[in-house]
Parts: sequence; structure tokens; C-alpha cells
Amino acid sequence: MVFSQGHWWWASLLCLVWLGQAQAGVAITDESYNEDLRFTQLPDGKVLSEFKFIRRIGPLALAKVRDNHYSLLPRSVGEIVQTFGVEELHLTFTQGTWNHQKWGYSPLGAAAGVQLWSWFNTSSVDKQWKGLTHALAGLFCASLNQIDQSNTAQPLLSFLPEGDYGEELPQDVLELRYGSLPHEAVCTENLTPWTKLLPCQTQAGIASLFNAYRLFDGHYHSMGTHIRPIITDDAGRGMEFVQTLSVVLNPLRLDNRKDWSLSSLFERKIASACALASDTKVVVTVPSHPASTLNSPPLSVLTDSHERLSAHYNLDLSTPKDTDFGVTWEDSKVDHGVNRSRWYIDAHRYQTGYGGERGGLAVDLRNHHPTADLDIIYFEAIPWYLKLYLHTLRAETAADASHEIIKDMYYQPAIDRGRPAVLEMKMTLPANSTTTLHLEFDKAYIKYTEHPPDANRGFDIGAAVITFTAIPESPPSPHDIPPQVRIHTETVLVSLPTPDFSMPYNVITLTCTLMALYFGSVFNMLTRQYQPVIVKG
Amino acid sequence: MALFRRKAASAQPSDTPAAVKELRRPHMRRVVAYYVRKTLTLFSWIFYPVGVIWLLLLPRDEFHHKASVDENALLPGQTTKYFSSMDMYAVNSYRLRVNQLASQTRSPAEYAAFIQSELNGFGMEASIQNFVLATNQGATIGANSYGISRAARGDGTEAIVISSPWMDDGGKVNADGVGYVLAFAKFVTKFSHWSKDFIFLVTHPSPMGTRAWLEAYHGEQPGPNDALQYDPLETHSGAIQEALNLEFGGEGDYAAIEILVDGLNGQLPNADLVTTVVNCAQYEGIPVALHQAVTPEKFDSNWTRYLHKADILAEYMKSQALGLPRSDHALYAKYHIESITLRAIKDIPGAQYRVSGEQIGRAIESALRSFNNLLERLHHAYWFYIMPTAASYIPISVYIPPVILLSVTLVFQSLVMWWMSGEPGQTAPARSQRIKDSPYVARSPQLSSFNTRTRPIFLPIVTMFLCHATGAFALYMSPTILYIAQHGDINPLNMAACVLIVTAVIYGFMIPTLQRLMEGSGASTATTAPAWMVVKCIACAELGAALIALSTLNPSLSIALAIPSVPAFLLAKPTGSHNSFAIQLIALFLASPIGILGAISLLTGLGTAQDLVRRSADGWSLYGAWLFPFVLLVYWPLNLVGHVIVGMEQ
Repeated sequence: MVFSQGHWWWASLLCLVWLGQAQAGVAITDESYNEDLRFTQLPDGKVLSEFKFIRRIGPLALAKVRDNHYSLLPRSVGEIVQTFGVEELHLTFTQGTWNHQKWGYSPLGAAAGVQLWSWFNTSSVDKQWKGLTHALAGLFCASLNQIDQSNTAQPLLSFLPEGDYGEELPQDVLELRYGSLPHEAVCTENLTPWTKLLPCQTQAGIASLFNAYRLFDGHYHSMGTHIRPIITDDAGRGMEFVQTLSVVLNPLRLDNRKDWSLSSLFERKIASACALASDTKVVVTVPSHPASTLNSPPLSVLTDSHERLSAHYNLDLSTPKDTDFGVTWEDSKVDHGVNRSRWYIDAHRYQTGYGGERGGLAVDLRNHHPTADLDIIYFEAIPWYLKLYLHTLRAETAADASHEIIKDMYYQPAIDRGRPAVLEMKMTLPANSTTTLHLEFDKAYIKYTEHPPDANRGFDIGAAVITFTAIPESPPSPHDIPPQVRIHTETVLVSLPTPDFSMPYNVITLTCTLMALYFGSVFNMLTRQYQPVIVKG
Repeated sequence: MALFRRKAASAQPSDTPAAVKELRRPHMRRVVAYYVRKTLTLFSWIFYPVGVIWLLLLPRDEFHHKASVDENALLPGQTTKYFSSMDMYAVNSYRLRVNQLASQTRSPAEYAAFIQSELNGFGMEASIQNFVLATNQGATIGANSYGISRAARGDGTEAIVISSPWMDDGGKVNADGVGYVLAFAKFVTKFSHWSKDFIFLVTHPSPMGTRAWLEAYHGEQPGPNDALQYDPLETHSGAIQEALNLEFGGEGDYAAIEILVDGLNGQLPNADLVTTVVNCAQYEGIPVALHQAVTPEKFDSNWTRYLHKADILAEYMKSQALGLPRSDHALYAKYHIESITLRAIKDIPGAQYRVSGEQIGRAIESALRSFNNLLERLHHAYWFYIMPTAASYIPISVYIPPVILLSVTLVFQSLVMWWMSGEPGQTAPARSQRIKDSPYVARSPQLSSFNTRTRPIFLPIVTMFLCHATGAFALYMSPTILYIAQHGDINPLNMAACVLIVTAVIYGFMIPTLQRLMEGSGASTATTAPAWMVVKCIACAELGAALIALSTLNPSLSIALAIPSVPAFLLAKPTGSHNSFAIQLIALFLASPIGILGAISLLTGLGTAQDLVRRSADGWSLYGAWLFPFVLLVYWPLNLVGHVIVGMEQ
């Protein structure tokens, strides 16, 4: 990595200043830990809480990690990264569906179930990927080890590296693997090992709000673990380890009121700031109409261009213990409408057809922008047991037929029990229109041992991923959505032809009976001695 | 160890020549075949009365199984119910608003807009689907409105539909049903224990609206020439697992709830769904009716018990045999969605008390909770059953034997005809005898291979083809004929007479003429079998196969068609006697569609028969009910063949 002399100088100066301010008890290294908590009340009254735990590990600390000396970075994570040559890792556990029509785009919006994608800087990637999924399965008590080759994909365009790689082009030297488990149930079993990675666990800091009863009672719950390389100073490449948790709770359902506070949402309050965190921020964002009152006085209040108020707080060790953030409304009306003025693209996928032989998928891709055609990248990995027919792929649009919608396409056919079919497309959605993609498939007749224990439920087909660049807002504010946005479609449940599983049992019992009778009589015949009886006389 | 006795080898030399020994085996074979044939010829009809008697025994309690839930996850009625008087207040206020709206306007679009705005108000994704149905009577414009309540913690892959038609069966506004749908839409948002999405659907007019909605939900698009044109849906949920259709056309004062189970073409929902709904209602103390009759706990005598159940069974089989959609639930079966309609009954004889609205609400909630518990599709219980009461059923293992026995007679009759036409052996084959004082053996004539007759095949095939072509042509012409009958205001008796004369000309004149032109008279000669036997053989085989195949799909229809047609086919043969000719013709006429319609109009009035024809024709063209094409393509042509047989040469 090449850096100019000027950078060096500034960095060392900053470093000195920071060292001077360092509090007692925090080790003097190039590591830092921040906590960030945002509450956003959505127009329909639901409260989105986004917890972020950011650890930045500088090159010095990373060098120590290589010698098995850990401080802020959890050893279990560090070992996984080192052993499997992971450069970048994104793992999310999600329950519920992010409603991007009503809630907008969120960087923490993820596909239902478990989603894992990772960039590797190693040679034998498939082996390392297998090792990584098994190690993460153990770390987070999840069935991640079920991500095998048959549901691993290598997207080309949708999951670009998000880290800071300097000037080298990471795609040339790194390799990507993507896997998902759409039907993985997420529960406290996964939350507990995840919170154990936090420096203060749930004893202090914003994580003290984690009340599993409430976290898992929301409309959406997503727990993320993200690792990416960063460049902190010229001494080399560092690492950022971010844990995120977003949860959508509905005060209307909990209390039948639009007003909320920490104690009403979580039945907890923030005990105190985490002593290891250098900075703990809390931001409460609410619509500026109707009028509302903040429960505790903020440091500052900002109004953004979307008629939202953001109240900023800073927590430190001197903050009183029972600070209860929250909002009280003068008018309790909620707005269930859909706001199309900021979020132009939405996607909706559903199953078509019926019967056990064949089926299809349809995806409605809508561009609500009144004038601009928007470019997106569509990615879908379909398991091998749905035999896709690429010739049935068609894009229908109500807009002018002269538009070419599919600009470029990458398709990898499936191999039975080997790999999924991967479809990745660059598309242009005409302004103010709905484009519908249709795709048809045959349902494979799979072996009876390949059915899951709940065979009559069906198979979950993981979400399709739509990646696009959000239209930059003016003026771009620092906390706004990042330029690259990913939205996920619904999971689809496909039922394959299912045998009657009581039948093998019947066959086995019947066969055993016949065998017993047959064997018994044949054995009898074979071993019995026959002697003629001569009747005299 | 057992001792084995063996006769010491006989030293006596046999005086039977080798040729006689050799002929023993074919002789025995012939003898066995002869007696089997003779028995079948004489006694194959016995299956028919046995089947009829067995059917008559079905209303007896010994044949009924008490309905129990096979799927462990359902646990009907085991949950705490939260449906309270507040929710009942919502039902009542919605009923008033729906009635008010219905009195102000008759536009489906406005009804749909009202439902949509209410559903939107609960935070649902609600939208409207418009559709147009073009028929002979003109275009009908309709609109469905629906909203999807996303389960808070679910992944949206499974859904339960709660639907109600805007108008009930009798053409009244289904205000209470729509009220319950809206009240439940509000109710479900209060809880986070739902794991499946709910789709609240109000259709108008129905059941056409349900068809349009279901097709659009499953991604179908209407063709440019289709009578039904509909919009695609804006939002979808996951795979629909269960559907509950509510028809409460009253003011909240009911005596019982009726369940409607049989769907299009007599397809049934999984028995667990029915049992769950019935159990949930009975836990709440609601009397559950089947075909508008609530089975009492006690009867005066066994005879009244028998009559009561026989009456319900007859109604049940009638409805299943027709296979026409009775309400919205009927159309879901095609998509492998288990569905049921709950219809409120205002008055039943002997009702002790009224059912309160909250009881109904809690019963529905309880059923929804049970469906919500399911981890898989309903697959444990039967899809094939006949219900004598709401809380018991006759499983397929009990009712299928009589259904098969009725039709199996025809299969045996077909076999008998094949044998009789080929080898008309009238006596048992005699044993081959040694010719005296010679080493030769005289073979008995029945063992000869030279006395089989040739069976004419071309004439029977021509006959079958012509009759089926007539049926196909009738199916092709039926929309035109029905249009003329409706718009020309033609007396149904004239219509029936016209059909009778046309068919009589076809089977009495045209087909025999064509037969003679092509093949000759078909009379038997010394070397050829009479053609009528082969015709009857093929016709019996086809009708028997069709009815037996039907017995698993729609047993009631199989029974309804087998009972008149089997005796008619057994009797049909050319005869010299006037009496038996008349009897044969009467039996065949009674088994013909016109004859059945005539019997229905004698029993219940001409209007019923007329209505039946219209409904079955509409059922075919609008919903794809098989009854009409089955009768015209299989049943009626074979009845024509029967008429042809009677008129053929011996």
C-alpha cells in the first residue's frame, strides 16, 4: 500500500491527539470500539431500532492477533478469519420480512433466514468455505453447516467487496461465496452466542436493552456480523468488525399507543454506557408532523430534508442510569400509506402455477420514479430440484416495448445435488412502470431420503437480491442510506411431489412378514429329514 | 419328526391310451372355463342387488366412524380465545355499514373500495382486482378486494384465506359475513402469535370472483378470447394452505352453523379441516349442521335415526354427484387448498337457543389458531369420505365396495358377451372317449378348435364411433342450443321432445342405415357371431371402466349413474318378444339423461330439472365442472349404443 508522506504526518498527529485523550482503562493500541443506536419511528407507528457495535482493529493490533494476542477482537472470530483466509464476511440472521415499501431501504435489511457471503483471499476456496460454514455453525448455534456446495453460489455483480482495499482491485485476487438458508429459525439460541462477542456483553451499553422476549416479538428482527478490511493509517490494512441488530417493534400492538419509550419497547433501560466504548451515540428520528415531545432533552436536534427530526444523544459513564429515551405524540394517528417519493424501486416475488409437476416464479419489479429509467442487478440462486427452463424467462412491461429491459445476463445451470442454478441480470427498469419477470421450472422427483422431516411443508426458495445505486439526495447527509442498496424479495415455498411416508413403513412390515413366513417354511423344508415309512402287510 | 407316507409304486399297468391322457388337461381347462362362464352368465347380476343393499345399509351407525383429528398439531379448541364483545361490536358496526352501503349503491367497485379502505386502515396491503365476465346475457362487471396481513414473525411463505362473498346464496347482502371478515382483519393485527399470513378477501359477484382471484393469485393470465377477463394481483402472500369462507346472511341471530364441504366436481377437503372446524364450533356450543340438518343427540327409534341419516346422505350424495360450486370454497380444491364454507342457518326445527355472535367469532378464531399451528400441509387424514352427520364420516374403505359392486356387473357382462360371441358352448364339454377296438380316441366336439366363431369388429367400432360423435356434436352445440332455449323462450317439454325425436332418429334410423351400408346387418351366421354381442361387450366395458374410474373421483356420481344404467345394459339385447322389447326400451329411456331429467321433474317439478341443465352447462363453461361433458361424451353416447343394440339383428 502506497501512501503519501502527508497522510502519514496527519495520521500520526491524530494518533497523538487521540492518545492524549485516551481514558484510563482503555489499552493504548490502534483499536477502537463504538456503539451506535438509532431509533426511527416509521409513519405507521412502528419503531425501528438499529444497534451497531463497531470495532476497528488497526494494523498493529491485527499483527498481534496473528500472534494469538487478542484484546478487543473476540478470539473466536479472529481465529475463524485467520484459519479460513476470510477477507470479508457478512452473516445475517433474520426473522420476518423487511417491508421496503413502507419502511424504505435499510442497510440492515436482509433476506429471511440466514444469509452468508464472504470474500476469500485463499487458494482452495471451496474447502475453506466448507470450513467457514462449519465453524460459524458452531459459533452461532445455527445450521450453517447445511450450506453445502449444492446451495452455494458465486455471484458476479451483486455482492461486490465492501471493504477498503486501497488501490488493488479485489475481485481479481479474491473469490466470493454466497449461501443462504431461508428456513432457518432464528431465536435466542443464536442471540446468546452473538451477544457474547460484545465487549460488554449485555451488562452495559446499549446491549443492555436486549430483552429476548421483546426482540423476538417484533415484526422484523435481523442480527448481523460483518467483517471487512479498512485502512486506518499507512501502517497497513486493519479490520472492522461490526455487529448489528435491527428490530422493528410496534408500540401500537404492545401498548395500543403510538408513544413509546425504552421501557415500553424493551422493558429495560440502558444500565450505563459500556466502559470500553469510546463513543456511544443514540439518535432518535421521528417524523416532524404531528408534533411530538422527546422524553429526555437531546444534545442537538436536526431536521432533515424528509421532514424528520433527529435528536442526538451521547452516552458516557456519567449519564444517569435510568435515562429513558422515547417520544410522546400529541396526535396518535398513524399513516399506513406508502411513500413513493424516496424509495422508487420495489420488488415482489411470488410463485405461479399449481400442481406437483411444474411451477414458476414471477417477480414484479416496480420503478416508481416518474421520469428516470433505473438500472438494477437481479440475482437469484435457485436450488437444483427446481429444473429451470431459461427459454421461459421473459420480461413483460407495460411501458414502451422499445425499451430493452434485460441488458446483460449471467446464467449458470444447476447440477443435480451439485450446485444451484444462478441467474444474474443487469436490467433497466423503465420509468414509472412495472416489469414482471416470468420463469418456469419442472419440479424434480427427489429421493425419499432427501425430503426433510417435515416433508409436506415444502422447500423454501431463498430470496432474490436486487442491487442498485440509490439516487443521490441533495444535499447528501452523512447518515443517509449508502449509495449501493440491496433489497430482498420474499421467500417462496414450493412443494415438490411428496411420497406418502407411511408407505415405506407398510412395505417394510409387509416384506418382513413375508420373509419370515417364507424363510420359516423353507428352512423347515430344508432341515427336515424325510424317511419313507414302509407299511408292512 | 413327521412320518411321510408314500404309496408303494403301483405295478398295475394302465389301460388308458396315451392320447386320452393327453386330452385330459385341455378337457379340464374347458370344463373349468365352461362353468366359470356359466356361473358368471347366470349370476353376475347378483353384484348389483348386493351393491344396492349395501348402499341402503350405509345410513346405519355401524358403518360410521366418529370424526377425530389425525394431525397432532391441530389441537382444535385447545387455545385461549381472545375474541371478545369489543370484536363483536366491530362485527355489528360493520354489518350496519355494509347494509347501508348496499342500500346506497349497486356498484361492485364502490363495495370493493370500501373494503379496501377499511383493510388499509388496519395497516394491511390491500388492493382491488377488477374482472369482467362476458356471457350470453351480457357482460357482468365485478371487483374483488383483498388485504394481506403479514404475520409478524413469519416469513410470509404460507397463508390462510378468510373470504366472504358480498352476496350470499340467496342473493341477499352477506353483511354479517363481510362484517366478520373485517372484524377479523382488525382482530389478527393485535397478536404476534400468528405464523402464517392472513388474506382477507371479499368477492363480488361470487363464485366467479373467487375464480378470477384464485387464477390471478396463481399467476395465470386470461387468454384474449376467454369469457372471464381479470386483472393481475398487486400483492401476493405465500402458498395458501387453508381457506375459510363465511356466509352469514342475517342479523346475528342464528340457530346453527352449516358446513359446506364438497367442492367442484365433488372434490373434498382433507377430513382434518372439516373435523377441526366442527370441533371448534362444538366446543363453543354451536350446533353444526350438514345439509341444513342438525343431527340430534337422541332419536325416538332406530328407524327415525336411519331415516334422518339416510336423508342427509342422500342430500350429500346429490350435491357431490352434481359437483357444481355451491359456494366460494368449491373452487379452492383445484389448487390443493383445503377449504370449507361456514353458512349460518336462521331456523332449524327443535333449536333450543340462539347462537351468539361471540360464540361464532370464538369458533372461527379457534379454528384459525389450529390452522396456524400446522407445520405442514394437512396430509394425515382422508380426502375421500362421505358424511352422514357433521361429526362422523364413512371412510373410503367402507363405501367403495358397493360403488364398485354396482359397476363391476358391467365388466362381467362385457366378459360374458365376449365369450358368448366367440364360443357359444351350450353344454359342458364331454370327455374324450376311446373308440372301441381301436387305438384311436374320439375328441369331443367342444374341445375342437374349429367351432369358434369370428367376431365382427368393424360394425361395433362404427357404431361406437357414431354414437360418441353424436355426443361430441351435442356438447359442441350445447351453448347455442341453450342460448336459443333461453332467448327463444322455448317450452322445456318441447325441447325435451325435440331431443328425444332427434336421438330416436339417430339410433333408430341413421345408425342402423349406416351400419348396413358399411357392414351388412350384423346378424349371426354359422361362422360369425352376431354383431350386437360385440357392440354390447365394448359398450359394457367402456361404461364399467368409466364408472369404476369415477368411483374414486366422485363416488356419488358413479352411484347415481350406475343405478339406472346397469339394469338397462344387462337387459339390452335384440328380442322377438314385444313385452321384453318394451321393457328394455323403458329401462334404457329411464337411464338416459332425458329420462333422468324427466324423473326429476316428476318428483320435484319441471323447474328443478330445467335449472339443473342450466347450472350444469354453466358449471362446465364457467368453472370447468365435469358433469356436463361426462354425460355428453361418455354416458349419453353409451345409452344411445344401448338403444342401437335393442334394434339390431339377432
